[in-house]
Parts: sequence; structure tokens; C-alpha cells
Amino acid sequence: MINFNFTSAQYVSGTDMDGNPVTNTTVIAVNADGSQSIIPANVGNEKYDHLLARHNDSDDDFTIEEAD
Amino acid sequence: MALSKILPAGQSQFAGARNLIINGAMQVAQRGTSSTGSSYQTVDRFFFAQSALDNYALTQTQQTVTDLAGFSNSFRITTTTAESAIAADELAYVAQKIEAQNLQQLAYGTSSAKRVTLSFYVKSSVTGTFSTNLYQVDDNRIVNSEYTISSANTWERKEITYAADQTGVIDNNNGTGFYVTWNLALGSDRKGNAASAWETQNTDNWGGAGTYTDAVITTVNSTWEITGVQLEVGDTATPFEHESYETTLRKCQRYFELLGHAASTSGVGYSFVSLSLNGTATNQWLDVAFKVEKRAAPSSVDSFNGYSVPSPTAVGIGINGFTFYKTSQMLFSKTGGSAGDVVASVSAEL
Repeated sequence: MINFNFTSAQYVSGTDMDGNPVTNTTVIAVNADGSQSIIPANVGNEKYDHLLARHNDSDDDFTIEEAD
Repeated sequence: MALSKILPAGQSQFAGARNLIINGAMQVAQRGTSSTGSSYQTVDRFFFAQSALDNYALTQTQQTVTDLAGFSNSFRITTTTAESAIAADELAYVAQKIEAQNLQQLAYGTSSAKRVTLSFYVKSSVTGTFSTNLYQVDDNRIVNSEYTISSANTWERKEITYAADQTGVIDNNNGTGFYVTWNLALGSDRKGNAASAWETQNTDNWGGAGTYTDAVITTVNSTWEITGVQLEVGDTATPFEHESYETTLRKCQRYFELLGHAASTSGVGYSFVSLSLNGTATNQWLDVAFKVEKRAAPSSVDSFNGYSVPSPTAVGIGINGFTFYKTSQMLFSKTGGSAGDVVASVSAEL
């Protein structure tokens, strides 16, 4: 029984060792209490799956923001 | 010739580890000692759950106990806003989930299935009859029972023996085997049919068929608390098996772990798991090993107590630790809390 209560989420960007862009591998999500969660953006990760489901739910205005 | 003393089974001084419940003395509370939230908030491995309540509010605490010899802590629920009435679909309970592979000794699903006995101390401002149950997740099976609190605000010890289940099979894995549940409010949809022997859970047999009080949930300032919780194989409740704080903590850390403490006492600086990374080198990795292997890979690394976790370029999390990778400075900045507060946490709770 896990209650997820994220208020926002955003992908993280960066580069790998060779300088190639690395995007959409990690999400920083903010919980209702203001704490942050660092979440691997892997399908099968229950929190990422939850975020993705909300992102794709047309009745939910929640979105995973693109990386800055 | 050396003298030896033969004790009944389960009462040997070397018996040990007969309690299937973790943290039954409520000594470990890694997340904190007080919260107004539901779910896992204070005492490790125990949680409060509610379904469909409209206006209910509570405080759950790791309570200091001074009136029960041998116990120093309890898990207490205090109602701060009462539910005006319990509607048909409403439910509130306290529970602990037990990992399935730790229940294989019960031999459920075979003719050798064993009974289990639950014992605990309970104290409440509300008297009356309360419902309990064991819920077996893998095959959606349930058995329930009840206990009565006779005197308000007085510790009472309860012992309940549950039937063995020769039908339902508990999978041998790291998922949930049992819910051990103490019901505090049961809407009419959640009760009415008894399950004195194991049977398929059909919602209306969750709570049993008795007349149970919901007054803890419907009365403001009411309290309900437990400690000394033990679930053991057999039909006899033995004295609570005390264990060292260290032993209990290690068991709890399989499901939840705090990572590190602030290195600075000045209220500034950067700290994380007793390690500061404030260099200028590119391609930084931070590998953090967990103190205890987790039940499953945590799904996130979470900030805690006002600290901010940095934004890594990538993160990988396993059952033994995690790795952050970043192409630039990996700053773990302290934005709140106080010296000694923890910085982050990981959860692998059931």
C-alpha cells in the first residue's frame, strides 16, 4: 500500500562521459510535502509508471515537464 | 555430568526469532515519532490505512509508554477530526504486512499447514469489541477474529489463534504474504460475513460478522494504541520475545533506510551520507551502499527533513545501493533541518 502524491515532475538533462546528451533517464518529482524524489525513468519502476500514467491521462492535467 | 533443563518447545532460552512480526515493541521509528498522515509515517513496519473516509484526521505517534512493564513504546492513533458516521464503503485499520518468504514455515496450501497465534497489548479510550484479520494476498484468502477492550485507558493483553489454511498457498517470494490487521472502522460493505476459517476474501468478510465499535474513528480525541505484538506458529501465545534495538533496526532497514546525517553543525554546508562532493571535476559518480540489502530495489531516492537531493544526470537503484551520475559538481545542499538530521531515504516497503 503506497500512496503517491506528487505535485510536479521534470526530466533531468545532462551529458554522458563523451559529451553526448542524456535526456529522459531520470525524473525529479516533488511530493506534496515539498520533498523531492529522484526516480529512474524506467518502465516497471512503480513511481515512474505512476507518473507516466498521470502524464498520459487526458483527464489529469499533470505532466512530466521536459528537461531545462 | 552437566545438568540440563528441558523446556517446552518455543520456550527455550535459545528459541529466538519466533516472532513473525517486525518491530513488535515499537522501538524503531526511522521516519519520525509523530505524523498527521496515513500510511507508513512513524513506527517502522506498521501503518494506518483508510478508505473513503470523508473528514477524518488523525495523528499517529510512536508513543512513550510508562505504564506497561517491559515496554517503552507503543504505536498510537489519536483522532483529531472525527468521522461523523461510517458509510457502507468506509474502512480504517492498522496493519503490518509480512513478507511472503518469511511465512513458508506455515506450509499453507498443504495438509501440514500450521496455526498461528497473535498476541499483543492494547489500550484505548474506547471500550468494546474490535475486529482483526489475517489477509493472505497471493490467493486472496482471509480469516478474521475479534477481541474486546474491557477497560478504558488500560493496557490489556489479547491472544488470538487463527486457523491453518490448507488451501491457499503463500508464494515463496519477496511480496506480501500476510496483512496482520487491526480494524478500527468497518462500513457495512466490509463486514457481515464471518470468516472464522480461511476462505476467499469477498469484501463483506473482511471484518467478520460481529458488532464492532467504530468509536475510535468517530470520536474526537479518542486513542487506540498497541505494543508487544507477536505472531508465532502454533496455538499458544508465549511471552513477547524481546530483542535488541540493533536487531530490530536491521530488520526494519530491509524495508526502509535513512541515508546519512549532516556533517556540518553550523547549519550550512553540503552533506550526504557522510560525504560531501563539491569538486569541479566532470563526470562524478556517487555510489552509496545500503546498510542492509533491500527487499526490492527502491523506486526512488527521496529527500528528507528539508534537505534537497541534487539533480543527477542519471540514477541507478538496486537492492544493495544506488549510483548517482552527474557531469558537473554534485552538490547536496542543506536547505533546512538541523545538524544531525538525515538527508535522504529509500523505501522498499511492502
